[in-house]
Amino acid sequence: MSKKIVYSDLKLINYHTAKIVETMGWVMAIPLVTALLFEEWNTAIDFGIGMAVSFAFGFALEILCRDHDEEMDWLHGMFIAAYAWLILTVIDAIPGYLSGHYASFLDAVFDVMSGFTTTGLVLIQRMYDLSIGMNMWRALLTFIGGQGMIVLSLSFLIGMRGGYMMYMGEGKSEKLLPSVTKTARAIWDISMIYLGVGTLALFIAGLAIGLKPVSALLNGLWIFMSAWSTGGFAPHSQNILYYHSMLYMLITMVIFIIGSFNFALHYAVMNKNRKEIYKNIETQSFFITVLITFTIVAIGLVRNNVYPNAVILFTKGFYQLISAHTTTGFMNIYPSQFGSWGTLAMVGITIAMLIGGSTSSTAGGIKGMRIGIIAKSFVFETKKLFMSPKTVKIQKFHNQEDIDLNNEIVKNAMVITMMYILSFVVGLIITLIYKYPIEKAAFEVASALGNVGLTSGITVPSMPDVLKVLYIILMWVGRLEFMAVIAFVAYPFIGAKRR
Amino acid sequence: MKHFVLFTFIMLFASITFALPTISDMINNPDIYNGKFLTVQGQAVGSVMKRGNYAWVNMTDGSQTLGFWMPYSLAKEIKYTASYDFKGDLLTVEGTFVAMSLEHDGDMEFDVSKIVKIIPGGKISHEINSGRVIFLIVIASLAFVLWILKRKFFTSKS
Repeated sequence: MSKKIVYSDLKLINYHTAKIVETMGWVMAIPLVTALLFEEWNTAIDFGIGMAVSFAFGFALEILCRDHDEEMDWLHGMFIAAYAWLILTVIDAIPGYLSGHYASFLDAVFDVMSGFTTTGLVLIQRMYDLSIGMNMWRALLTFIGGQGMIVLSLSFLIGMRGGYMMYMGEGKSEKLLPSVTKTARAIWDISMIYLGVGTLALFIAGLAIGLKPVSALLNGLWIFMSAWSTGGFAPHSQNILYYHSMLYMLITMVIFIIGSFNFALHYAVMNKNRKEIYKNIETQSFFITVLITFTIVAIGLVRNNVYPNAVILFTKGFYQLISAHTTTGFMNIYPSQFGSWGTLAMVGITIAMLIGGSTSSTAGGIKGMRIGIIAKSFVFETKKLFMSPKTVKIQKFHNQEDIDLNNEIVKNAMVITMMYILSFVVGLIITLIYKYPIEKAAFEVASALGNVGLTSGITVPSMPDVLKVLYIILMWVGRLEFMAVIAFVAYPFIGAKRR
Repeated sequence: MKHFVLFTFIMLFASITFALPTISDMINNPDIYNGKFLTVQGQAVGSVMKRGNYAWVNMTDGSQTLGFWMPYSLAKEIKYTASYDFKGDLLTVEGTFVAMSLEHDGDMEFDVSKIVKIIPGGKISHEINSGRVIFLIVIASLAFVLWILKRKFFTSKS
């Protein structure tokens, strides 16, 4: 009996996964058309193959699972989110691998997971002769990954039931509108408005710094998609250093700070509720933790005499700190230059990477909400020690509305935070086995787990395959915030028992 | 045997003394090369970005890429920069490596005073991979057949 139940569950899971794979197959039409426009025939063929494999796989799964159950529960939704991300990562690595810019298929898979999770660590080689179609695809990976592939599928597909469970599984929790489909569309609407404004700003800046119009437009579009998604992919191996421009750097910083905020906050601001910006627990938490971590970084840099004046210290130190805190991963220094930063500054950046951006945003990390809740709870519990036992006081926090800070909320925040720390420790131990210095290893693991993308130089094509697989898992776990991955791992054991 | 050891030693000494540092050497060891007048070789990549009478040209040694700051009159000599369609000009330049430029917000850069030599790049012809075309036709046909089957015979009840 239980076997039959598990089989029908698998049909339901695979049916919805098929739909998501097909959606991403359609997305490949964008780089395909781009490649055709720029007469990059081989790139177009590579994306044609990627699309055909996506559709063949999706249609075959749909046929096999056509008589699936209708009822979806939380476990299904969570499982689908984790499972679909893995399947997509493998299938969507095909065009990249065929491009010849990767040493192995594993490297191509690594970059796709890095893109989807908006991490930004890369193993791609010879970026200077990468086709325009392939650059478009890399930008799309990070842009779509930031909003979520399930959010995309929910926005455009009719008939995906149990959407809210899958949506939650993808690490999003805010329901902006009563229906999850409308919420998914609202997320896309918000992103598309910023896409227009941000690309225009970067296009103008691109012209001002000497790029030709087509190049300025494409660079503006790709950098926007990456910055908004707090992704960190850039079309050049030098990342933001390529542009040699303070203006370009500042615009990207504004975009990725905004991108790291909760979609619900954007929605509130767009609906003229501007007070939410400074009342929201996540923006408050963000500014406090930025202040603390930047102080640590600045002290470290001054102590090591890394930069000759305050302007350069701010330009390099603050940009890297904000890039780390928002989990973007744009770099305006070379990875080898972190070597001169010293342990204290590296610790400051590592803490910022672990804290990360806001919940229900494109950012990774433990998230400002959880840090804010834990901090408020700690302060409240300390205050209670000095209160009369008869005093009844309720602590609240603000996220769209005033919410009572109850034990359940604090417990949930603590559980996820502990899981982050545990994953970080496990990742660090495995990295240390390969004899990397501890500050570099901690930096790289925090970067992968927090979906940041800054590198201390460990992530290179010649790194051990075990570490490539480890970082793929860390990026995946960090992006989906554990619950979906736990459901994925635990399903074979609890899937049959729960009924 | 003695002659072989002596020859090896002389060659090693010569390569260390006279070899051009690579772009990666400079990026990885900024303290060693900072402020030194050097001759460096690299392929021009991306766009030549004009800034007043000067220009930024990014150059790669195949492994890492660095910004080269040069008078625009020199940058104009570059015909091709590396991209999907073009092999970039291979430049040999003289100038000073700056580990942290005060003029350019602390960026690492190479200030070019002279282009010694340019080996021109050119158009790259990408031959269409017929094996991949055949694979595309096969897999696309399979997807099409599955789509027909799905639509005609196996439409899901949802």
